[in-house]
Amino acid sequence: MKYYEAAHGEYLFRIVPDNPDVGAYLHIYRGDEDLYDYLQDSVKHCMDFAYRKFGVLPDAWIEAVDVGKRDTNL
Amino acid sequence: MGTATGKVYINNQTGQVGIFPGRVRSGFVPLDHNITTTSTFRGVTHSMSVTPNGWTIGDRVDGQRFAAPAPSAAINNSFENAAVRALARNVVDGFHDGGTGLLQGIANTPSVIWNGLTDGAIRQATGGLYRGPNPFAAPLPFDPSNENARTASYMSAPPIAIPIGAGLAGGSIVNSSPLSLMPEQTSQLSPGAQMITDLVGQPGQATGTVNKAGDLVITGERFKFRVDFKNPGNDVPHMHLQELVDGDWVDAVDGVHRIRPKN
Repeated sequence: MKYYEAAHGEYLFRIVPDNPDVGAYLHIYRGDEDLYDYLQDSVKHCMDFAYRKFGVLPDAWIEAVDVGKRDTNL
Repeated sequence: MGTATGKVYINNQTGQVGIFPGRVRSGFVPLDHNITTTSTFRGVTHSMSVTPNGWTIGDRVDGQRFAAPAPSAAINNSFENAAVRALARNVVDGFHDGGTGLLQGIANTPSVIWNGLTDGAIRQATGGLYRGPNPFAAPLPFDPSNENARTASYMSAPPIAIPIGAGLAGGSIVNSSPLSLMPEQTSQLSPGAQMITDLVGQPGQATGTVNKAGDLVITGERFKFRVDFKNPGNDVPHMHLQELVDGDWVDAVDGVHRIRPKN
């Protein structure tokens, strides 16, 4: 699964795309605390929203991929 | 804060700096000194430090910073707003109600799938919390004593008609079908159901979808209602009511980010 992350002060911002007709979720964490999850129309909307509301700069985002559970027996 | 690394070039005519992964744009020459300046992103000015090998964008020069509410405020915000609480409860009860109603009456496969999914999600997440009488003073979308009339309406419902208050989903809602109210049921809406339809379900103006986790999302022109039962993150199952403000979906009620059902 592809997603986007940005570190911003003590907060971790993560954008997780859902189905196109649903949009994308903007999650905000502080350590293990799951503070917020906003559903916006798209990944770009999430980034714009994160900038306007929380000050996360557009170039702070990195693209990440969740490779899922690995089979350690292989 | 943001950083970029790489060989920095400057256009001395315009004052622009750039890092070019490929061909250097015309008019730019290598930067050979440090620059301390500011840069504006979408109307907000930030401090900026540029060296020949990259740059760092710092805090806003106006000193404003993001300050999240204290964790206690983010976590213990359940139902401070009575209207949101009533809305959430009515919607959840309504969808549960619709699930049982559908199983009793309508022969509409997509609807059964939809409501079965929702009903299952609710029961899975709450251990049956939503079964039984409405625990709140807020009225149910439909008078439970009106069971026969409601079932009859289900039976006569056109495939794509979705009375949101009753939770009856029809047609291919999983493919973002428009929501609409059946005329014969609109007049039966309780205040709670009317509140829901006023917010998210004006006829032809709302869509219902299921996200990847299998949770419900209803989007109207101005309000978005969604549940996080199957994938609530590091939290208990909850719901959200968001409002579209200046292009952003924000919390409809300040300080009420997650709506957590209570029993």
